[in-house]
Amino acid sequence: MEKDTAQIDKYLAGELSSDELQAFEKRLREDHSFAETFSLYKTIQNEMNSGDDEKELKENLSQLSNKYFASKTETRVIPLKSGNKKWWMYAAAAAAFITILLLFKPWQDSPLSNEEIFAQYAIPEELPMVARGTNEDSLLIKASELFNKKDYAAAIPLLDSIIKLKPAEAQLQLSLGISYLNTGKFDLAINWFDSLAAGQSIYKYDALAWKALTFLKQDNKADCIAVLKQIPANANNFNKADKMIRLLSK
Amino acid sequence: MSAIHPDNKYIVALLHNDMVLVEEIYSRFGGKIKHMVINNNGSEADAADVFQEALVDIYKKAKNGFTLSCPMEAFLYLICRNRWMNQITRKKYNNVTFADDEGYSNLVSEDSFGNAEQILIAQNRKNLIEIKLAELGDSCRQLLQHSWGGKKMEEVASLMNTTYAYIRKKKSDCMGKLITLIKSAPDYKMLLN
Repeated sequence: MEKDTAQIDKYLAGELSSDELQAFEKRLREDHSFAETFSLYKTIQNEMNSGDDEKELKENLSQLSNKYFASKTETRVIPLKSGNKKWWMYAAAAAAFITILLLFKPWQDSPLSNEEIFAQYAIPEELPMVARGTNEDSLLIKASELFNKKDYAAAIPLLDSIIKLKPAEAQLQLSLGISYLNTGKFDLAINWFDSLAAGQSIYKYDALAWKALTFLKQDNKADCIAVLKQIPANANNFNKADKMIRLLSK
Repeated sequence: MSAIHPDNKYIVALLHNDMVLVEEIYSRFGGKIKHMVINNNGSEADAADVFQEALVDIYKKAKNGFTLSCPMEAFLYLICRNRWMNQITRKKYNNVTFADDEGYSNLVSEDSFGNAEQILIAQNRKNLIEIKLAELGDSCRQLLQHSWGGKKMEEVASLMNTTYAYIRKKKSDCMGKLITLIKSAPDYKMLLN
């Protein structure tokens, strides 16, 4: 089977020599099982391929869904955040600012350890726990619950299964990355952060910040700063990143 | 092929991610769908999912050249109703009647019915693929998902910290595993064209 799919992959990429091509097409006509494999291969590619456009549309639709549909599942709903991201971000920014003032005491000029800086910045956004009554969602609620109470090791397998079912949900991917970071699986964490940072979701730059934190956790200040510097000035977390760079450079 | 209906503007809006008109889809038709789902054992959150997924289905269809030849309201209702019915029969709810289709079926043109049916088939196909994908190991699943996410294989390789040649080989291995799993499902023939 793996040999067959390798051939099909080459065929679709136009990489077969003319001899190979002839043999391939002959086999397609004569070998029923191979023809089925070929057809399945193409169907899978067709159904599963989703470009950046589709991701962007899905994100926009999610926002509209939040606006036009309330999640009124009688008793089971535990709303954790308002649908309005902007409002939340201002509140978070204000909270972060106060935290910085209180914890950091910028007026005292003693440099902080990497660990202290990590602790101040590595504060994950909670996952909303909205019940919808399907199996998938009871899994999501359980995962959110574990993640929010920082039981990351237990949250990982659940988040992983939900992401299989809902591959477009950026916040879940970010949360999975954070869970890996907090369980010491730095490479896996960075894989997820990289993939989000390469996409167009609203968590794009959060993912970069978390990638930086992953380096910091490993006492790799240089890479941490390098990644923070990739956060552009128009990103919501730019000021936070900028502040962090200055702290690390002390 | 029937004539294009003026509501085709909504299809174009989905294609171009024109958020003003897409929001109009929600404000004009969201209420009806909510009503239909809630009257048939669903919650408002279910309705939100059905509505959103139906729009993604229509978007995908539009990418392959679909145009709307009947009122958007009637077409969307049909897609959402099919989707919701599909979902609840899988969950084996009883006493679902779908008594009223609000007279929409009279408004749906014949080729729109055909399109709605194709959307339903595509949905079932995707479900089967996703179920089998979930049975693959982590590394295969991640690789395939990356490769379907609109990234070039070169990017996937650097993302997964490996070489292009390796990722190409690994991808066809994983596709082979996935296809073997799919072929073992009793209803896999629906994936064949």
